[in-house]
Amino acid sequence: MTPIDWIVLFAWLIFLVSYGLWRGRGSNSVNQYLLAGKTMPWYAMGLSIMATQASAITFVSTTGQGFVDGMRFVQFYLGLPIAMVILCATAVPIFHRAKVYTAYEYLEKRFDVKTRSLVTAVFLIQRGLGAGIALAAPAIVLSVVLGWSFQSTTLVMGGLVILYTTLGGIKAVTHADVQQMVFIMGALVLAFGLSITLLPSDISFLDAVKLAGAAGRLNAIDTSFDLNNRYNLWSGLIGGGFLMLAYFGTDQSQVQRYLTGKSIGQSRLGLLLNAMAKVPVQFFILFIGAMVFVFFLFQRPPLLFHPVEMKRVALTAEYPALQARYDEALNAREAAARRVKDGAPVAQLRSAQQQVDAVRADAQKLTHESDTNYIFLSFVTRYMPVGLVGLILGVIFTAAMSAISGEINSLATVTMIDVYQRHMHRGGNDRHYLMASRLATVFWGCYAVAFANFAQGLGTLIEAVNQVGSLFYGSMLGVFVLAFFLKQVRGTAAFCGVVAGQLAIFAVARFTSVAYLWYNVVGALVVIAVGYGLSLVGGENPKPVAQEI
Amino acid sequence: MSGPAAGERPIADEAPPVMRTWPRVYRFVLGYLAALIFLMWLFTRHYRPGAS
Repeated sequence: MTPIDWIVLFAWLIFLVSYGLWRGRGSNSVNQYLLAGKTMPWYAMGLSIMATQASAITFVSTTGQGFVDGMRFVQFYLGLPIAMVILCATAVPIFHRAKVYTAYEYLEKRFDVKTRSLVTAVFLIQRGLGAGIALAAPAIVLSVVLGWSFQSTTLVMGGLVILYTTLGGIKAVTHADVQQMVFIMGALVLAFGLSITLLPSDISFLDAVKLAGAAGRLNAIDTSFDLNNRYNLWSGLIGGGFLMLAYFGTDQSQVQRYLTGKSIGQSRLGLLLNAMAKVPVQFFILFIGAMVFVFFLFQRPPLLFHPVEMKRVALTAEYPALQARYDEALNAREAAARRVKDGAPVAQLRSAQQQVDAVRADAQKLTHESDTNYIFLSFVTRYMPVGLVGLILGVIFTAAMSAISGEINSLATVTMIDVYQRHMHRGGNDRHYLMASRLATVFWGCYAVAFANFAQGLGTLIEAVNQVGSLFYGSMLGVFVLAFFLKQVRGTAAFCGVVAGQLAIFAVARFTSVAYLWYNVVGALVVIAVGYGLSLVGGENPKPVAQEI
Repeated sequence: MSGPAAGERPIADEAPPVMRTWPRVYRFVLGYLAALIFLMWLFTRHYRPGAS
């Protein structure tokens, strides 16, 4: 990076944090601090929801996924619009009318304190793990690219997040997210334009698309049904739909966003903005990955995109032979690409690509870490103009901060409302709870930094833990379905349902090879079946407060 | 308990802009999703390896 890039990077960080603090001023009551006084317009909520969901690692790894695996990952999001519509019709008005700060507070109104406490505990465990990993995963990538130590990267990131989240509350988080989302989209459009304009002069945009297709990178929709296939139309619509219902309907980091809306209608519009924009945005990000793939058909890519691992492999005895094989495979692939562009069959390009993949796989065996997350950053740092490199890295940096701020803000809210206020200190005044909220935010921010440093040593387990976030969502979704739709189900039946659902998910994960998106379906259905079944045989009395919702 | 209450103001539930009722908006969003899936399916089919 040049000095200009460093200046741009730090200027962007300072701007974003200052802007968040400025917009978050006046958060001097619990209602302002946790729900922004219910004044947020729909577009701010919608963009904030998207920014919280799109962490930095999504940003860099999704483009890498488009490069390596094509566009099939877009199917993961196909259930999202359906989930948004269901939530707009059910959860949004119910939560608003219940006048709650957290989704779990509602569970006590509907069931009882033990069900609220159990689901609160599930959320705190799951999100607590997630907060550390949300910080660790991008910090690993950014520390390598920026040449900082991992500890320094997490401290800078965590420190800035704690600063504006603690002082400005959810208003600061939401307004910073809006800026963040606008700049993310701008950076992506720039990267896309650059990947096209840097192609050789005899390769047009349509040629590039044709070549990406020939190499199997434009595989957006797969209509085959296979429970073990992670991404196809059906796993996306059904499994992804359940996951999105759970994520947006029961995860406080999302529920809190739409509770900040000034009306039910504004909250609905915020969610529907996400429903309409998310799939095209993901398609676009993956398409950029496919275009970067085409770009590297004509520009010699490194054997490995991970700069540190590349240096390490270059020192091994196997390296010269690997590099020679790689050069040969790249030459054959470029020649095949030009022939395909002129109308030749795609088989030669596919075969040449397999040779390239085989050499890269051999090189990967000598390393400790996959280089998928470094592909896009390698493209940015090598080929972007001076200044833009700093801006794009700054945007990726703050994308990580945006996701973490949402998580620690929601963790602090649940800690304050569902744990501290409910179980530890029930008679405090607003000022007392505001201070407790700020302290909880600092606690979870420090916890995220500490856990990130611990998680770094877990290596590939980070990816595994990320993927099995679905281990908890199914049962959380199930209990809210019971709460919303099955009025005869009472607290004890719901509580047992959650326990049974959680056990069922663990059993499926441990003893079968079913793809993880389906855990959400299994968990939710078991909770509903057990909760409803027990309510038929049990004799609990109805809970009268249910009428208010 | 004198702690915070999440909302003192009554919660408004206004009609959506343009389409006037929420069910119409929901149908539009679901139709939009169906159109997106169809277009992406056509895209995949058109550019699959060996398609042209």
